[in-house]
Amino acid sequence: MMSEVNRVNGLLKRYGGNSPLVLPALLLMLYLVVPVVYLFFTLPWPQVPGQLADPIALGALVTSLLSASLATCLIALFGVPLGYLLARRDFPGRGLLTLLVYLPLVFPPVVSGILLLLLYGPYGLIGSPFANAGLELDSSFTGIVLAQIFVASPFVIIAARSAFETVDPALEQVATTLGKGKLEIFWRVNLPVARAGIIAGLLLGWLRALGEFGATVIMAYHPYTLPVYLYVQLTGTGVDAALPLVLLTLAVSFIGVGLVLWLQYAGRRQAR
Amino acid sequence: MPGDMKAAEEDALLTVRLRQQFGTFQLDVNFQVPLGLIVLFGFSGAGKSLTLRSVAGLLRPGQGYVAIGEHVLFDSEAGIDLPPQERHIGYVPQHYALFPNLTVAQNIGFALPKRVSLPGWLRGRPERVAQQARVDELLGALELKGLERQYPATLSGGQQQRVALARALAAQPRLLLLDEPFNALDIAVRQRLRDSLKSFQRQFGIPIVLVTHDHDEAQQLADTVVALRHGRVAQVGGVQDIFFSPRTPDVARLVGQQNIFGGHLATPTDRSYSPSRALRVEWLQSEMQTRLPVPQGVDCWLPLPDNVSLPASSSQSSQTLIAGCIRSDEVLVHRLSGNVSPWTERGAARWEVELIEAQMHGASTRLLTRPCWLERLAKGRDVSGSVLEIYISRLNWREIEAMPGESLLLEIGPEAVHWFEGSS
Repeated sequence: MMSEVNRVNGLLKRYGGNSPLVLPALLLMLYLVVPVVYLFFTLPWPQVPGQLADPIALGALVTSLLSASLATCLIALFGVPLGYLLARRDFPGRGLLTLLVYLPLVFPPVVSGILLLLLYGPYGLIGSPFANAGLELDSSFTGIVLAQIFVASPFVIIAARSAFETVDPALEQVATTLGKGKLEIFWRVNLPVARAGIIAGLLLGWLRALGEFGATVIMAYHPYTLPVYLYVQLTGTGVDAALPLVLLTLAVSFIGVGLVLWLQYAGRRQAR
Repeated sequence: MPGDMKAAEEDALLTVRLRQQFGTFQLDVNFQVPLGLIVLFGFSGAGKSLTLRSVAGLLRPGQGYVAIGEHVLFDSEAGIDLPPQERHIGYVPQHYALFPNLTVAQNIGFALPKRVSLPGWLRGRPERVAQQARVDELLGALELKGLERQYPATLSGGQQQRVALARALAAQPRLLLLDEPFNALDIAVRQRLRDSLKSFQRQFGIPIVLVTHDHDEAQQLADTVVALRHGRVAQVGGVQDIFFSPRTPDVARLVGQQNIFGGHLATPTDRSYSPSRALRVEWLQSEMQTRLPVPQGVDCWLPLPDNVSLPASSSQSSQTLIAGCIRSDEVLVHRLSGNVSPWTERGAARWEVELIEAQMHGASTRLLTRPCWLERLAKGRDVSGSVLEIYISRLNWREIEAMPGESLLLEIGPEAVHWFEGSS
């Protein structure tokens, strides 16, 4: 026992000196990591392949991947220009607009879902004409995408904005004196230079859309997305039935976050 | 290639008149100088970069007129304001602003018209070949061959500078604007790169406006110096004019002359060798603004250069104050040896000074001294801020090797004294 303590102390010394900051940091690290590690010891491994091959689970996975990808594309199309304007242009109401963009980030997702349902639901201002035409905006794939866009957009807008802010304005000035117009400069200078940050933001947004539950479950209970199906399994069958899906979600998240970190690293290297 | 960029008119002028309020800073510059290597010289915050960017069209001045030769770029009265894209001015900012995502060759080719990516057989072959040739030509001219596929982050400061110059030249500008182009470089390579900028300019025959606050840079490069101070033009002229004959105390400080004094004309009496005209120094203006009346018998005289013609009104008057400076690198320094006359045979004033400090300064030694007459005049007033700054050669210093607190003898000849025009 004593030797264990000595060994831990030795490690602490080696990696953090005698800094009093190491202990609290280490404790939080453990708190975050242990549940994930513990999952691997509790998983009913023999049943995992079978449960993952469940057609409903696969359907939910496909729905999640497709809807999150479509939502991310749409966010990119509109969010990147918005991020650019917030970073570069000075216009009245810029501060207020920034505030509004941040809001969906802090809303409880259920609140976002209710707000969307009010507008796009069968009796909503926008939803009712569509519903009359036989096109349901809620309880549909469209509903899922709408919910995901709402909750994931801030990630992309904020990331794009800070990526554009790090682009040296001197680059644009030089490009102007070289005879290039605003749009060409955006395409050939701002966008490529800010690329790494924007892509990182898109990945984060995609992951957020993929994991989105609260707003989605209100806007569109059907078709199942992965998180919704997870919830259904958990409440219907029990924890054991949900665990393989948890594993699947974790794997996707792990790859996604790894990519984000790598892109940020690459972006910093290029900026130097 | 040099041919197609040679300025059409050899004696064309750059005309710049700008007036604009930037917050609390008022920019109000007005100068007309021959195209060549023009140096905008001033302390930071003097408005150099603002002027440069206004010429490029990146800033919009409220009122003014900018023209290169006959090409009017901006004329607020006639309502002419060409956008930067149509001014044909090359701009190289402080840190070169190379596009980090493009290779050296792509950076240089940036200005050339970008063709829509069509399949190879549809592309305008001859034009593409011409563009490639242009990039190759610039790569060769600026000694960048072999680097074309590298990215800016992998280049040395000097190479980055050359890429930035090549990129600007590719657009065939009428004028190049360089904002502190040597600031981002190690001191060791600055000297050499200044020389190569000079030969670059000769090779391409392109007029350049360069912003700097560095004395060496201005002296080494400028055909014409425009000295700026507090957003205004303080003096325009050649290197000799600005550095040797600053017109005002402001410009003198800008070019590094610290020994600014004031005084009035008088004729020294009963002194051997004394010149017929001399200046009786009253106060050293540099730190101490107060005027110290000079009692009789205190030797604080300066010789007046022969080529100085006095304003008619002040030639006889001992009441008129005039200001000037003692050129810090034209003073002889000796060890103090016994009693000497206050004037030498050639009419140089001898001042006994106390050595405050001696420092190495490049190839010379910098001495901070205080004239002994100042102590005698001060009578209890604080004169610790009033120092006379002298630069002497290392060789000269080795003969003296005095310790702080020791007395030295300065020999200030007429050539060491400069006074400001119209300072009376």
